[in-house]
Amino acid sequence: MVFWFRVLRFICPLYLYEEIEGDLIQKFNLDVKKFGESKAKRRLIWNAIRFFRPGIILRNNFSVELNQLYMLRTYVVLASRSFVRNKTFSLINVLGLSVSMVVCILILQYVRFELSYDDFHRSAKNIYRVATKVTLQNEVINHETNTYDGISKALKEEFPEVKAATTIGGFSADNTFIRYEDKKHTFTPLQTYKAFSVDSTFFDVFSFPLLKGDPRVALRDPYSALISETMANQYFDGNPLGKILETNDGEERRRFKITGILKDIPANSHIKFDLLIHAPATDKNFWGGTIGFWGWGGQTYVLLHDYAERASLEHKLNQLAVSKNGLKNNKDDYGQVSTFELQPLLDIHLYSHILYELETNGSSALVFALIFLASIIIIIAWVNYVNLSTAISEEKTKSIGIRKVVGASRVGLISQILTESALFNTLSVLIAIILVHLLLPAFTSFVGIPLDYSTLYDKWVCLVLICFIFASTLMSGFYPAIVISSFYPVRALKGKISSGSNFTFRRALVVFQFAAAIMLMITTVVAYQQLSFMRSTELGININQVVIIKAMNFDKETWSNAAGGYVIDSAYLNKADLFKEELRSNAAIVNATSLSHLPGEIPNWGTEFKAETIDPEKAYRLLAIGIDYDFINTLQVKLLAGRNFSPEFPSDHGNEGKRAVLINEAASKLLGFKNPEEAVHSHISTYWGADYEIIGVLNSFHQLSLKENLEPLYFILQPRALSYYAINFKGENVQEAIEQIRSSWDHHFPDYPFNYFFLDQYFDKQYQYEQKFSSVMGLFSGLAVFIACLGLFGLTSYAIVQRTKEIGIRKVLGATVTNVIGLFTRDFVKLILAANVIAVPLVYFGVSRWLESYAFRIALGWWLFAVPFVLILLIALVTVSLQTIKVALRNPVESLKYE
Amino acid sequence: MAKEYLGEFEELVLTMVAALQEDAYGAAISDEIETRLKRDVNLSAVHVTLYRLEDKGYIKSSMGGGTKERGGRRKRIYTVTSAGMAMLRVMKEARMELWKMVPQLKMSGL
Repeated sequence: MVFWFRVLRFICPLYLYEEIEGDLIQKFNLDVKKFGESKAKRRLIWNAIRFFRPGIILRNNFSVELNQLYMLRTYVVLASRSFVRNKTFSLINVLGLSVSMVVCILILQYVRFELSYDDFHRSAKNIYRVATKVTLQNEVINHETNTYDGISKALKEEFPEVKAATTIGGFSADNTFIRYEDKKHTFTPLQTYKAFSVDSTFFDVFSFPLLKGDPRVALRDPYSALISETMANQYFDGNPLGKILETNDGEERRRFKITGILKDIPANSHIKFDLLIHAPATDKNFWGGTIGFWGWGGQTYVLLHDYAERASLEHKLNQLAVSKNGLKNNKDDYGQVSTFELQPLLDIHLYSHILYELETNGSSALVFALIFLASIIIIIAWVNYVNLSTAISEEKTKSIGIRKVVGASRVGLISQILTESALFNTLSVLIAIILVHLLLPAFTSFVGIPLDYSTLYDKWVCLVLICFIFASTLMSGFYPAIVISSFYPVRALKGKISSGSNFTFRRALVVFQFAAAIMLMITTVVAYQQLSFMRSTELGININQVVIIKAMNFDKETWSNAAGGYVIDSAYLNKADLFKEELRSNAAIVNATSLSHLPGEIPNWGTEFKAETIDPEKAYRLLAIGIDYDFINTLQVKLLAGRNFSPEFPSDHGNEGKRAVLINEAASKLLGFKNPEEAVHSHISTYWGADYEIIGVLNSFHQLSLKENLEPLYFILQPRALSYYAINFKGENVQEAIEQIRSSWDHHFPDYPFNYFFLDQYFDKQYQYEQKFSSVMGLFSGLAVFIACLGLFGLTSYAIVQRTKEIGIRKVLGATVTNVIGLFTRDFVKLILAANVIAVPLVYFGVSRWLESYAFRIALGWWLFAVPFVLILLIALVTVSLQTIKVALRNPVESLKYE
Repeated sequence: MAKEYLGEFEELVLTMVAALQEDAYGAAISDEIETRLKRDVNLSAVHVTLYRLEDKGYIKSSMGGGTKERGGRRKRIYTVTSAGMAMLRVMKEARMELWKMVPQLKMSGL
C-alpha cells in the first residue's frame, strides 16, 4: 500500500500532494468503519489509481534540470582526474575498448564490401542469372551457372516480362589465343587476359562504365571489342581505339576492332574481365552442327521488368524445357529433367556456389560468422569496462559519499558516471580511428578487398560511429552508474562497502569473457587442424614438383561424321610428342604428359552412362578427363586392375561411338561393380548409343579438394583439347628446370606464349577460403584472449588492492609467498574451469556442424579441446601471478600500515 | 474566462464549495455529494474539478489544519470568489427561467 503512495507521490505535483494523500487517508478511515479493513484497503487503492489522470499528471512541472548541463564541465574535470589517478586501469580500459573497436570497424569494412557486390549496376535489383539444374532419375547430377542455347534464345524473344537478356561466354589465355597489332604492325600474343564474348544486348542488362565510347553503341556491331583501361595502357599506350585484335581458338581466326575503353572493372563485381568482344551470332555451334535447343551456351542474364515475377518465369522456362524434350530433339537422354532457377544478381556472390562460377564466390557463412565475432569481441570489451569501472568505484566511495551528503542528486551522480564513460568511449573511438588508418592497408590486402579510405568517411559510417559511441556509453556506463549511485552516503564515508552481490556478478562476467576466448581458440585450432589435414593427406595423385604449361593445341581439328569423331591434326600431335620426348631426355625431368583437366578444377566434360550388365535401368553421370599414354606414370596414379592405354592397341583411340576407357574406383563402385577386376572388359553405354569398353581401373584420387567427395571419373585417350602439359621434374634447382622446359617449348612452339605454373600451388588455391578462415580465426582468438586477460589483469589488481591488509596479516601469521599466490590463483582457476565447462559443449556442437560440410574431415579428438584450455589457463596464470608475486613479496609492515 | 457556462459536475462542485464554506475541501465535498444526492463520485474527479475551477478563477484555496483522521496531512480549503458567486447567481437565474416554462414544475411562491 505504501507502494501506491510512492507512485502517487511520483505522479502528483508536489504542491497538491499533501491534501490528496490526506483526503485518501480520511476516506480510508471512514471506509474502515463502514466496510471493514480489507474492503477499505481495496477502495483506497482504487481511489489512488483513479488519480492517474491527465488532470493531475499534466499539472506537473516538466522542466529540464538545466543544472546538469552546467555541471558538465565539472564532470569532465572529475573524469580526467579519475583517469590520471588510476593510470593502469584507465589504460587497460581504453586499450581494450579501442582494440575491439578497431576490430569491429575493420570487420565492418569487409562485410560492407562483400555485401556490396554488383550493386553498381543501374537495375541490379531486377537482374537475374539463369542457372540450370539437371536431375537424372531423381538425383541432381548437375547444377551450373550456364544454360541451354534454346533457353537463352527464348528469353530474348518470347517472354514479355523480360526487358533484356544477354549471354556471355568466358574465355582466357587458356583456350584462346589473342594477338594484338602492336606498334610495329606485327601481331604479338597477349600473355594473359580474361575475356568474355558477348552479344549486342550486354549493356542493356549491365552497367559497366566506359571511359571512352558510348555503351549503347560500342558493341552494337559484330567484331567490335572493348578493352580495359589498364590493358589499354599496357599494350597500346592508352590509345587502343581502332586497333585490331585477332583471336584464335583453334577453329578459326577472327579479327575484332577496338571501339571503346572500359573503366577497370570494380572489385565488387562477380565477373571480372579485361576484354569484351562481340562475336556474331552464328547458326553453327562448336563442331559445325546446327545450334539446337539443347546446346550448352554461356551464362545468360536477364533484366526483368518491375512487374515480372521470378517464380512464374521460372515455371514457364521449366515447361518450355519439358515441351522441347517431348519433341525429342535429339535428347533421349535416359530421362534427364532440366529445371531453371533465376538467381538474383545481388545474391550471386555470397550465396551461389554451383558449377562454373565465374570468380571464386564469397561465403555468406563467413560474413555472418565475422559479424558475430565482431559483436562478441565488442561485448567482451564492454564487459571489461563494466567490471573494471565497478571495481574502481569501490575506491571512490568516499568521494561519492561526501558528494551525496553535500547534496548531489542521484541523477547527478549517474550523469557524472555516464560522462566519464562517454569520455572513455570517445577517446577509445578516436584512438581506434587512428589505428584503423594505420592498419587498413595491411588488413585490406590480407582479406583481399580494395583499399579505399573513402569508405571510412561516408555519412553512413559516421552515423553508425556516433550511434555506437552513444550505445557504448550507455551499455558500459549504465551498470556502474546504478551501482555507484546507490551507495548509502554514511556507510560509504565510514569505510568500504562490502562487495557482496557485486562480486559474483563480476565473476560471471569474467567467466563469460573466458568462455568466449576459449571457444574462439578451439575453433581456430580445429580450423587449422582441418586445413593441414586436407593439405597433407595423400591425394592418390602426385601434384608435387609438377609444372603445368597451358597448351595451345587447337590447330585444325575437324569433326568428321565419317571418321566417327575427331580428326586430329597429326602435325600437331607430332609436335606435341616430340616436345614431350625432348623433355624426357632432360636429366631434370622425370616424365611429361598432356591432360584436359587438372587436379583442382572440376572437369566440364562428362556424360551419363548405363552399365548394362549390372543394371540396365540405372544411369549414372561420370565426369571425363582426357589423357595420354603417360598420364598414369607422370602423375603416379595406380592401376588397380586391367591395363593402361597403350600404343599397341590402336583401338584404344576410338571415337565418340566406340572406344576404350579407364575408370576410377569411385566410378566402378558407383556403376555397381563389386570390385575393380569385375569392371575390366565390361561395357558401359551412353544415351546416344556409344559403347565404351572399360580396359582398366585406376585408384580414386582427389580430383577436387578434400572438401568434396571423390568424383567418379572416366578417362579417355583424347589428344583433342588437351589443355595442359604436366611435367614432373626432380632435383633442387627448380629455376633451371623451368628454363630448360622453356627452351624446349620455344623450340617446338615458337609462336605461343610460355605460361607456366605449379600444380601444387594451383591445387592449393581451393583452400584459400579455409586459409583465410583459419587466419582470421587465429587473429580473433588472439584478440579475445588478449582482451580477456586485460580484464583479468584489472580484476586482479583490484582484488589485490582490496586485500592488501589481508595479505599482510597472513604473512605475519606465517604464510609463504607461494601460499599467498595460491590464494589468488585458486580463485581465478576456478573461474576459468567454469568458463571451459560452458564453452566446450557449445563449441563442440558448432564445430561438428561446420565440419560436416567437409567430405573428408578430422576427428574431434579430446586434445583439440584440452590444448586451448591449458593454453588459456597458463596465460591467465601468468597474468595473475605477475601481480600477486609483487604483492606477496612486499613487507607486511607496509601492507598493514595502509589505512 | 474561457466559457460562459460550467459543466454539470463543475456546477455541482462549485455549489458545494459555496455551501460548505469553511469545510469546503475535497473529501468533504465528495462525502456531501454522496450523502445528499445519493450518487457515487470519485475523489479524484472532485479534486480535478476543484483545480479547474480554481484555474478559472471561481474559487480560491488556502491550506488548512491537519487532523488525526488524515494522518496529520493538512487540507486545502476552498472559498468562493466574487466571480464564482456571480456565476452561481447567473446559473440560478437561468435555471429558474427555464423551469418556469415547464408547467409540471410550477413552484409556488417564487
